[in-house]
Amino acid sequence: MKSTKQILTDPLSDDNPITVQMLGICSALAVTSSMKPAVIMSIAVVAVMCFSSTVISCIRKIIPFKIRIIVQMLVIASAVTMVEFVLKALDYDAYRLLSVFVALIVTNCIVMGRTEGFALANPPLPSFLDALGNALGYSVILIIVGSLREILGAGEWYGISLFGENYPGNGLAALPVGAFIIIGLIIWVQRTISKDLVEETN
Amino acid sequence: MTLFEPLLGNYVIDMISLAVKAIFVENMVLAFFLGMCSFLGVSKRVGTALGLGMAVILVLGVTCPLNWLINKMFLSDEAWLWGMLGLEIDLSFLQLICFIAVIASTVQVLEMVLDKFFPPLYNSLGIFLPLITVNCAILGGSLFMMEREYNLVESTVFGFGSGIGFFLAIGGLAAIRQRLRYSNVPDGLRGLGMAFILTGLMAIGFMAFGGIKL
Amino acid sequence: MPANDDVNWPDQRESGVKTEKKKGDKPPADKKATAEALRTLVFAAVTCLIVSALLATAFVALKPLADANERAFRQQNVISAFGYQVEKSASGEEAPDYYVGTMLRDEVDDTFAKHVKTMVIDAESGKIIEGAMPGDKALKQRFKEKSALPLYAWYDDLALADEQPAQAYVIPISGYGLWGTIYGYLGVEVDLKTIRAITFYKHKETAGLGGEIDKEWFTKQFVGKKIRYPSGGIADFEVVKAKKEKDLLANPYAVGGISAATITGDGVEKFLVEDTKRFEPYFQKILAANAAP
Repeated sequence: MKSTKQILTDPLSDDNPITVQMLGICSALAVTSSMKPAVIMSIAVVAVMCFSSTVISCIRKIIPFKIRIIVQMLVIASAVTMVEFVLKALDYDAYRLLSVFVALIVTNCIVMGRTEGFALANPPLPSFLDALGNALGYSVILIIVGSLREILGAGEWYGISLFGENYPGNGLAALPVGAFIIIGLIIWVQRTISKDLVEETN
Repeated sequence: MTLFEPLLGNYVIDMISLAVKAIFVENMVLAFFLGMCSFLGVSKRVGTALGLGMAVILVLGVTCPLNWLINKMFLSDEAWLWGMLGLEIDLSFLQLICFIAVIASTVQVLEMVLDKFFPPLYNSLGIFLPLITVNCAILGGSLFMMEREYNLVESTVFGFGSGIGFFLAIGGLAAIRQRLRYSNVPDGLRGLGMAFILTGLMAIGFMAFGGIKL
Repeated sequence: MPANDDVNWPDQRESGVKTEKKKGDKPPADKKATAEALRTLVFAAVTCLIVSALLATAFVALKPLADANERAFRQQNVISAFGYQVEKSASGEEAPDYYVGTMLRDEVDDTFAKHVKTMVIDAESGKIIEGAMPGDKALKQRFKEKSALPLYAWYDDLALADEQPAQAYVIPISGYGLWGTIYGYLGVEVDLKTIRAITFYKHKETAGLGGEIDKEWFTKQFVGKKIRYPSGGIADFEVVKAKKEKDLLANPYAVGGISAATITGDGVEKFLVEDTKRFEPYFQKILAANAAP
């Protein structure tokens, strides 16, 4: 049984949802072309995950086994729909930046992975922490990739120009390609540091 | 293409153009990053990868027009059903939930069909078949279709096209990864890291289609 | 190469992630099983009701705000095309001289009410469609086909709109770039020749490449350029590749393109000219009316 602290901190590195568990990759690539969408996406995911895990954990004892997947989906989809509404009403610019990717949080494997894998079997508080930990682990990667792509691609960080007007811009980093390669390199670094994450040869 | 115009007519050319865009230029996986989880998980063997690809083609090709119909009939603010009853109801806030429900049901039906008629494929796909439900590419297809305001025919073409694009991408990656098993990849890069970099290179390749105008 | 996967997948029925239809299997004659199935149904129904109620409430509560945001966004873009720098909050700095003036986001709504007349033009005849507005659902298909065109006219005093000509016009422009449709507004002076400003508010172009079209360095080039030849015909406006400053400044019918984003530039120049031509029936009438003493 993990300690409370471990529940929160494991997903930040050793059990990182993106680089270790291989989940939630789609959005990690799509919204990281610059910092701003990456940050907003992170906040949205934290909100959705904490809400979903907590709610599912609260009703876990009365959910009939056969429809538990559907119930989880209902809860997650409602959370995402509400986040969409709030975003559209409060920060229209941010909403336009992310467009369909907020809705795609529904299919983000991390969210359902945690509700199915943890919240269904644990009390609300640990579930909340587990969701928070994983969401933060996800956010960390998003922010790293977003920063790298924006710095290399446009010479800016969160819109603040770093290298001045004449930075030619690395088009490759700004494109999908850059995202793939950057994450590949991050995984390489992480696995070189923690040797036990290395995959076995066939 | 002007050669074919009198033969095929503008409409058909538009549809072909849409299909080519969906398959190559705006490939679901390589340009929009949707469907990565199953993409990376299944692409270790060509046979399984192609099987998943075909399942995705079917699911996307069916759910896009189906979701279009459901949206048109019940959900949008000019829905047929409410219009006929003279009511002005806007149920667009249920869009996400309905789409997911439709996708889940379609996958369920597909599972049953595969189990009955193609058991070996059903077995080799294993857990990844039900996972198509949470595959971002499927929901993404429906959401893009809504955002771009396609009509029914365009939705169908887009759905099948996107599926074929996914099929090509996953098949390609699986083929490369299968060969790579015999190479000496650095420890840290082995497996996932390599897959990412490979996909990046494939994405560059597919970008070459960017300038096509039919 | 092995024929089948050498991985043993766990038995499907046991696996944690598998979708099931709500109504499950046929309930056997067992009383307990029937009760169980009933309980499942009731739970499902209740959950659906709660979820729908929750979402419906949130939707109804937040919709006015969301709609207002959408309208404000459209208005801001039109005002930008009239040549104003729209700011979130007062920066106290002077607007560069290629702007007509500065405005705060909060002031846009007011300005629209005081100065801007919104119209919809029938593309073929050039006549104003009475009572129509750009958001009309009935005209949705016509807007898509561009047979009905929204038009915004600036009057220093809106009350005198019928007696005096407008000071400037803004027309919507849209067309294909590289990755998708680009949407923008073009502002022209009363002479229907000189460009006041241009703005691109929606596009799918790559950030740093084609995406530069919405940056100031690109759009400010258009200010003062001409879209009509002295003889009266619409000009073949160009977004050119080579960027020799001197040549560009001297040529009133061209602006410099974005390096490595030729296709975006080509798309922009194409739909810019095409969409301007769509307003010719209406513009010719205005020109004739203005020319008459």
